[in-house]
Amino acid sequence: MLYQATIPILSILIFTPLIGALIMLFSATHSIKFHRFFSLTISIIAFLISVGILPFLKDLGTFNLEEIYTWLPQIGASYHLGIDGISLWLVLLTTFLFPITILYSFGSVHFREKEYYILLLITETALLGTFLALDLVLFFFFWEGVLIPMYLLIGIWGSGKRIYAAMKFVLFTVVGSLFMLVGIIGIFVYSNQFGPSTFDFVKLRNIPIPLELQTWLFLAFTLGFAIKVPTFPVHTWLPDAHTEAPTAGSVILAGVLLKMGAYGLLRFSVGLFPAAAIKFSPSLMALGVVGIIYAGIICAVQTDLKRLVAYSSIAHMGFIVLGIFSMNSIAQSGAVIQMVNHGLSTGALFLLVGMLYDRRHTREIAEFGGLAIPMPVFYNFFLVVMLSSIGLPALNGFIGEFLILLGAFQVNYYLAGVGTFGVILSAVYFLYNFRRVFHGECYSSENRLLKDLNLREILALAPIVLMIFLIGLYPRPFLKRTEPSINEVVMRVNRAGAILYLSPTERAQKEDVSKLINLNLTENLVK
Amino acid sequence: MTQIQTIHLGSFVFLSPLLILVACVLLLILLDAMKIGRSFKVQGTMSALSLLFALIALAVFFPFNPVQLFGGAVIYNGFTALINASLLLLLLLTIVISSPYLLKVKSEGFEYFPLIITSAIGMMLLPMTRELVSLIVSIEILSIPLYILSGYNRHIEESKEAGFKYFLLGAFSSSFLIFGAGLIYGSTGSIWLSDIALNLPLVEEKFLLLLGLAMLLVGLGFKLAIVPFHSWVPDVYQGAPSPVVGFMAGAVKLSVLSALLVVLFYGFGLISLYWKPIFIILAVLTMFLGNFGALHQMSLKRLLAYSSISHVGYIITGLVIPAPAISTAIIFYAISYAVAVLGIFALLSMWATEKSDDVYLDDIRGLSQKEPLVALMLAIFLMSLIGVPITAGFLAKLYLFYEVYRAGYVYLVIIAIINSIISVYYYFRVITAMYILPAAAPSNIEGDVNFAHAALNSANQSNPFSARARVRSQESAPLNLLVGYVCLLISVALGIAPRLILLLLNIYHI
Repeated sequence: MLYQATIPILSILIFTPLIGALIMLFSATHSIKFHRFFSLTISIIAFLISVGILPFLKDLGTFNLEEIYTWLPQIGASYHLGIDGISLWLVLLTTFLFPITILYSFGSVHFREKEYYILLLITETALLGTFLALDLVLFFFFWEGVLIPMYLLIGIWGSGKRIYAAMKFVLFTVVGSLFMLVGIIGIFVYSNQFGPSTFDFVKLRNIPIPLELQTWLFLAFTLGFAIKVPTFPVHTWLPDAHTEAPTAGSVILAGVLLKMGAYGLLRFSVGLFPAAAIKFSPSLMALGVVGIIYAGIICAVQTDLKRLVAYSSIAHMGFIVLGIFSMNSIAQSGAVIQMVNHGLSTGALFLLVGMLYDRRHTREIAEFGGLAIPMPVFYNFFLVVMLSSIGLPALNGFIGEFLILLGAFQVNYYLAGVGTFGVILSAVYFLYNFRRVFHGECYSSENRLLKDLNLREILALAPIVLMIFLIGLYPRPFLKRTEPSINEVVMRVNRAGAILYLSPTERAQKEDVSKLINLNLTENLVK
Repeated sequence: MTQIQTIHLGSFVFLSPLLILVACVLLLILLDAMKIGRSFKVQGTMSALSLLFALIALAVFFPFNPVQLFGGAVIYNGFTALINASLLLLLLLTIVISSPYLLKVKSEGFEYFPLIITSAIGMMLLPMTRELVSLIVSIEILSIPLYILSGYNRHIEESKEAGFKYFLLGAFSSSFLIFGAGLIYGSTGSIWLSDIALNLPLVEEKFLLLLGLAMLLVGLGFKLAIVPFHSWVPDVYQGAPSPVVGFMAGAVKLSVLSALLVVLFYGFGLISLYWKPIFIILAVLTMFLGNFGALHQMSLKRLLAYSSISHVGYIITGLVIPAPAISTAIIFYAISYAVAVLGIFALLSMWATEKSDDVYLDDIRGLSQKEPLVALMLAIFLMSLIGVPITAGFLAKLYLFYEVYRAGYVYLVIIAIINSIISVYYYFRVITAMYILPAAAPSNIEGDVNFAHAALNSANQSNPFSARARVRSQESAPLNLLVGYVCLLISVALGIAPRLILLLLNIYHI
């Protein structure tokens, strides 16, 4: 298609926010209005571009709109972008959430605004790049690019123990990502056996890697992604980071940043090391389930509204991990949809909590009560979003969790069964705390004087609620575009699994054959 | 073995960059003696111009084929030319920030420029030498001016201390170097690296040879600040004038590392079995000590000193690889490190005063508000030192770790990665101070140098958190900013598109 050949549309999409940020950085004006509306415009343009590529996507089983340029031949890195049914939704989620957070921030950020919007836009570029990069070095470039803007966002505009939380976020992330770097180097070195070494994901996933090496590389990659998700034992940075971050930071963290981890698990951990992923899938599913139950129980006893949302986020991400490592197309499609759902509903919850905090300057649940009376609009928004987060049918959360559990039950009764309790738990802690905040008498005079949402806030929330209903009522267009890509992943996993469960001699023969086949394949690719 | 000593005058044109520098040094000293042009500006401009000429000469007479000089004692080839070009560039940038600095600290005397150029001559000569006596002489040419320069701020106690300490320990290490060379001569019968390599299999008594090599490595390791020969670094880096530190942190490493590569691979490649394990152990020690030492430093210059130790640790992990092609990764790392460090010190030297030339973490609190561009540049240089993408530091680390991994030393890569993680903490402390913490202290001490100095001393001893705000917004420091921009540009360019330099380094490896 002419359009694909001539316009590097994905690069344009990725670098639009960055160019906007640079313009803002070097602009002489100190007018806050300019910076606010300029960043909003830029993020809306990015959203329009990302929506604009939708009609040009054909056959999402493979990568669309690919761009390949040689970048560093000595190191073997190339500039390779591409989009498929998995990254598409995350890209759209990113570009969708950024205008909303920027719009929301107009009312809640009151100092160093220029830097604030610049950092937000840089984060957007890094996030989009992470989802679109198909070269491991390029991926790592963007992956690390999130680190410093997010650190500053939490550290400067956060609340309470913000420096501690920001440093914790950075150290956890860096531990994961640097071990991932070892994994990246490892797979790069190994790929030398099949032609020139490469970091290219599309070439690398055709390379058969012996199980032992796969195991180590899988662990190195998965550690990085699991920290970002975060999965149960390495989740402790998240409550702090979420609680202390400014509202927009929390929305970006929960809405998109955590998806980097989940996306990485699905794309790279499972995509590059399918045999090792099969080997570790029971334990990772178990970790997901532990996260669901553990975070759910903690949620039930939270006294801080934002911490409640933060922990519920861990529980939801547990569902996604459960879905990804169920290794069948139903559960994995569910996981992709659930990534979007979680971004929408948790993002909206953080916005709502932030709006409440802006008014009342506290997040203690005990301080509230009977808020339904002074803030009816707020009450209704909160109700819808919360129900979507619980997973009520007809809202988006249901679709994702249902598919994940459906897929998980096919693999492991026990884990899926325990995971189902997570749905109930989430209803328990959300409804219980919802009652405490909104229902009953409105005793405190401070609460009675609270103003309801203004137009700007409604404008920020309305699109999210719209999407919540849209996905909940008619998920077909979303699933239709995800399925081909998921089927591709599952097909590769099954092929790897077939080899894995053969007897050793058979496996050796089969591996030799597949090595030969792939050797030809890679040679062809190189040509 | 007798060497045929013929000197072809024609091949001396290849040494013209060095000769131009020598001429410049002589001219500067002569003019000073005749009391002509006694101002930092004039001297700085002259030095900068001669450096430019030297760079042009280097480009014009680029040794596409290796040139042998002095019967092979000096071999000038593409590799050394690249090293020399980087050294000249680093020196040029240093010279640019030197004259404003010397004015600021109210320096007396005009030895600064001749000294720093002499030191650079030694650095440029060092990787070319293929013979131990020339090697030792080059190291002395490199070192002695640096001893003097470290103590150049005569008004500042720390500087005097730095100069003296550096001199004593440096002289001590030089004696090791000479003794080592003597032992090697005794056991192999030659001081020529090529002959040493030839005679190695014939040596029956290995003990003296290994002792000699060990002593030689002690001498070189001292210059590189490999643990356990690092103890001078924090004090010298803290006390010495900032531009000098910025120059020597990178340039000495670049030069000595390339000399080390030459000595090890051309002279002692055959017995790599003996020196490789030593370097593995030393690399691990150096990384850990450097990083742990830096964790809780309050002085920025001390912090960078410890971080420089840790960077040497990363670099010498590369010495486990037997192929000379490793020089690409090592030299690329050294260059990217040198550029970042020079950039940082160029900016730090803006804040030097007559009484103190050190910056504490508390001093740069709130810097992003007062001088956003300076803070941004510092942050990017620090990112380069951490190894965060879009800066040269990341690709340098990636390339180096890749080579080490490929050679089969995965555990070394993992140890280096653990160290990188540790290092994130202290670099982020600096970024935190600049961007997140509010500006410290009431500003009523502005301009009161004595007060600031007293506060500084008291802070040194008792309370490191005493509020001080010594970083005042300067009227203007355009030259420092200019050097900052250039270093930033190089850092980012090497981090995004280092194709050309990697290609050159690959073609002209040692």
